[in-house]
Amino acid sequence: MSTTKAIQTKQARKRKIKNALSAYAFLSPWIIGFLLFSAYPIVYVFTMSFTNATMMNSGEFVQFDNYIKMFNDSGFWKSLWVTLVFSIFSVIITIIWAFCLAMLLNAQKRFNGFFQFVYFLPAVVPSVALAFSFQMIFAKDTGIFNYMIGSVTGSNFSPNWLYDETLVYPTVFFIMLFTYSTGQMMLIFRSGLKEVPRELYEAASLDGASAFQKFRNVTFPSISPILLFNTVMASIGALNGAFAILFPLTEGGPNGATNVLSLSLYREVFLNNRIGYGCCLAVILFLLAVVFASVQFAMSKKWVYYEN
Amino acid sequence: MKIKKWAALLLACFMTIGTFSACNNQGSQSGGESGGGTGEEIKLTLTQWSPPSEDDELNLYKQFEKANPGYKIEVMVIAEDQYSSTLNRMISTNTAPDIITAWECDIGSFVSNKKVICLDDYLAKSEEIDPEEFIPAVKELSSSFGGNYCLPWGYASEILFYNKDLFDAAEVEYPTNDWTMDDFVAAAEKLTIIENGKVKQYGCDTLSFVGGYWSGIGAAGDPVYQDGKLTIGEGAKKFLTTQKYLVDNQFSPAPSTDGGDLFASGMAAMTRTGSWFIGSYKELEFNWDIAPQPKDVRFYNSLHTGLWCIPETTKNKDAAWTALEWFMSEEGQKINSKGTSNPSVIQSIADQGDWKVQGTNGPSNWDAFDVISESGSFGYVCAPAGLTGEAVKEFEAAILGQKSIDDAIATVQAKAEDFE
Amino acid sequence: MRTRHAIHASSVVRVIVMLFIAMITIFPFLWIFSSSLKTNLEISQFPPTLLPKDPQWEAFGKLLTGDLFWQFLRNTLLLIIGNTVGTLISSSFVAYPLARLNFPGKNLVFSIIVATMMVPGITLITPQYMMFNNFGWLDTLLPMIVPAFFAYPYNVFLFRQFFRSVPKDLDEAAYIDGCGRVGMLFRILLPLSRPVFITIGILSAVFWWNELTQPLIYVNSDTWKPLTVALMTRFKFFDEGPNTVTWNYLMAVSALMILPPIALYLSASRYLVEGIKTSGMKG
Repeated sequence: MSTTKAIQTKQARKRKIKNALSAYAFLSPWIIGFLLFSAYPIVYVFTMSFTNATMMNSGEFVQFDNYIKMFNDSGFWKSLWVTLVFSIFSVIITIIWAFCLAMLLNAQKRFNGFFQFVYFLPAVVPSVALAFSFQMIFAKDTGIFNYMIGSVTGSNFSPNWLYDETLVYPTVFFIMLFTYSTGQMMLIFRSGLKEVPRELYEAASLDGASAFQKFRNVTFPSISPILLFNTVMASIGALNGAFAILFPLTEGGPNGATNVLSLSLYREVFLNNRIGYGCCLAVILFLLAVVFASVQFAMSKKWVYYEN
Repeated sequence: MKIKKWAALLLACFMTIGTFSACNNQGSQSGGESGGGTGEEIKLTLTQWSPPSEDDELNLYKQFEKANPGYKIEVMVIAEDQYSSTLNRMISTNTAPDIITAWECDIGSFVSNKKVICLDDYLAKSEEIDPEEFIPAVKELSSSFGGNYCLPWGYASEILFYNKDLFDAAEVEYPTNDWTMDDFVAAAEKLTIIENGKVKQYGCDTLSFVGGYWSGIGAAGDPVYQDGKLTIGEGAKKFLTTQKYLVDNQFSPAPSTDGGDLFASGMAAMTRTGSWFIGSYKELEFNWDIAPQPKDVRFYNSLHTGLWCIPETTKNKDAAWTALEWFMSEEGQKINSKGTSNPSVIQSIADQGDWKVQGTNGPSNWDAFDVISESGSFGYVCAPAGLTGEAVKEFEAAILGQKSIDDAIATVQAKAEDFE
Repeated sequence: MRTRHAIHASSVVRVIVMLFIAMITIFPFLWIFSSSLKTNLEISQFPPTLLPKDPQWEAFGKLLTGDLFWQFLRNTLLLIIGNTVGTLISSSFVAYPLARLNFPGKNLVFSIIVATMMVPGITLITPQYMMFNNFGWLDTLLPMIVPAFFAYPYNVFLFRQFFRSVPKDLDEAAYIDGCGRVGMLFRILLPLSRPVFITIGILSAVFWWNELTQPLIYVNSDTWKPLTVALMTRFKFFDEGPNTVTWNYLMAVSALMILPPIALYLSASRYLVEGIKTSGMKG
């Protein structure tokens, strides 16, 4: 009896080891990739942030000089602030926009395919092309937007949209509505809304629920996992995707109003060749991502482990 | 079945990778040091910020290939706003091509870090090039390095362009070769047309080319570049105050993302920009002409050039020299002058005037260039491009009233210290 | 009667709102096409014209008959193919044990993968640049293609979510039939996972069609530039000297760059949505 049991446990252990070995064999590409393209670079960034390395020479250890310099630089604080404002607002605004479009599409029965196509259309424009076309549209003197304002209202109101420290924010957020991630979020919301069971709405109607009550009690709970998913994806995108749209659009201007950390970092490393200081900014951006991620993690338990 | 499919896919990827590495090797090995008449084509890669002329007759590289069978030149065009940084990156990572057209701000570090080769041995043997014939500013540069490390491709400066038709309509006298800043501002005011509070015509265009700021600051009395450092102060304050005055009164548009060129479209009566625009403007439909940029306390012009050098890492040094020697020959320089509207740095060739690209409706005042060559010096171009670029952003912020002029200048001064 | 009337009125308002939004979303798109048919001079004129006065097809002609556009397109396609193939193979392999096998350290590995998903790529680009320089890969497409063969965390995550939704009983049955781990992956999981493969393939294609940052940093020469970078660096100052932005070429290239994604949307929007939703949300 005990021998069979022993054989069984032995077999089970053997199977377990085999399991683990084959699992790690499958994982091996990721392990290599992680060590080479994530772990090593993270260590490198932290190490180099304590040196004065440039592209030309590898520099020497300068302790906290870079950090001291950075914390004493008002430009850095502004850049950090701009990054926070830009990330948070662009996530909120694009999600609300995508959700509203999805709601409208959901309510509209006729020409639904046409509307969905047209609403998704801006998302297929590459962000560089988007940036250039909006530079033309929002130009102060020759831009069509100011011309239209002038023709409709008859006033001489012609703001310098992308060169005004305050107006540049609404302008950039407006342009963010046209990015790919917004279009994709709209599609995801749309398919989520489609799956909300009809009966729930009908039951709510019988109870005499108003449109708002239906939204609060039926729509919102049904799509909340999707909302969470979109929020997480959008926040990951905000730190990363800001560069692709802001670099061609404003280059961080005017007067540093849209100078997010990723732009500062690019400028320091690849324009001014200061690797040490650039890595210092990378560390801050990395820590910012950690903070963002922790918040997301707390929120995201719901969708990652949805099944359990 | 499925496994076969996957195997095929895997194979396909390895083949893709294979093709890439193959292409890569081809790129770096082509030509080799040989060049010894085996009929093999020698491919040279060269960097430039300005795309080669569309007209083959004016395309320096095409003409070189024609005159030197067996050579092929591939031009690597890098946009101007990324030019200096990209070149620096290529040089420091030892990936620079066979010939680079370096900027004044970078050549010093390339030479001191021994990243480009000294051309003195080649020059000693050459019958085509005599560095003694170069204009003084270039000779000075070379002597500061203690040898010839680079050959200048021509020179350019900023210049004032004006629309004669609009001057006539507003009954304003044309700019003269000794126009002052006050004359310029007064003319800009008269040339501005505002109807119902909306600007129909600007007196002058905004400074779309960064060099304009530095020439203006220099003319207002600042040294701009001194003792190896960007040096500005009172002159910058004076110049920026004037610029802000022009913008605040709508005599000049504010810095913006405006699509095209307001001067070319006839919406601005004057513009201060690079002399190479003479070529771009040759088909303008209105009558136009050029004048030196207005002087303030002095005439000052930023001189620009590009410096051909051969990176240490290239395998085709001899072939690269063959190309450079031809570029600097009378034939090459003449083609380059015509193609770029930039005078040659070899005085005797420049005197022949091939760079005077005559357009349909202008210009005629070629004497303006005499003022430029007398008052021109390498100024801001010697400071790091990253610094001057950031400085211009500060100036724009000051002109737009986003920060005070004093603040902007102080920030630039601090940055200049930081860049050493 | 009254309620019907009210419904009618509200739907009219809705349609008006929707048409208004449609005008906004379609505008940049029309603007790009219209500007691409203008001369550079017309673009800088005031008042701006909505439609070109005299449509110029010259920019398109020059682009499509020249070599440059096709060369940049080839590079973009190489990036797309290399990345899509690479990430599909490697990410599905890596996701398999995370979804189907029990082994020590599984949770740790999965947490690391989710964590790396959140790291903005630009923070690590400096060391990667230095590393690829040591490999001699700068100014080629390799820095952007080879990493795809080592699994991208986000795609691993999507694959893992999808694989988990395939019933586990199938594994047991296959195991009893004498299938090994590899056999199970190939015979059971992969055939059932077609949709997620297509979804991730499309996402990767769209991403690399749009990607600007990495090629901007890794590639200098025209030989290996993809379209996005070429738009910013080569077509921005196409044929009128270094300081004249050639807006007409910018817009013509942009217009050409819009067409393939439209085709993709029309043919595959189903996968775009369903794929992410099912794999992202369900466990």
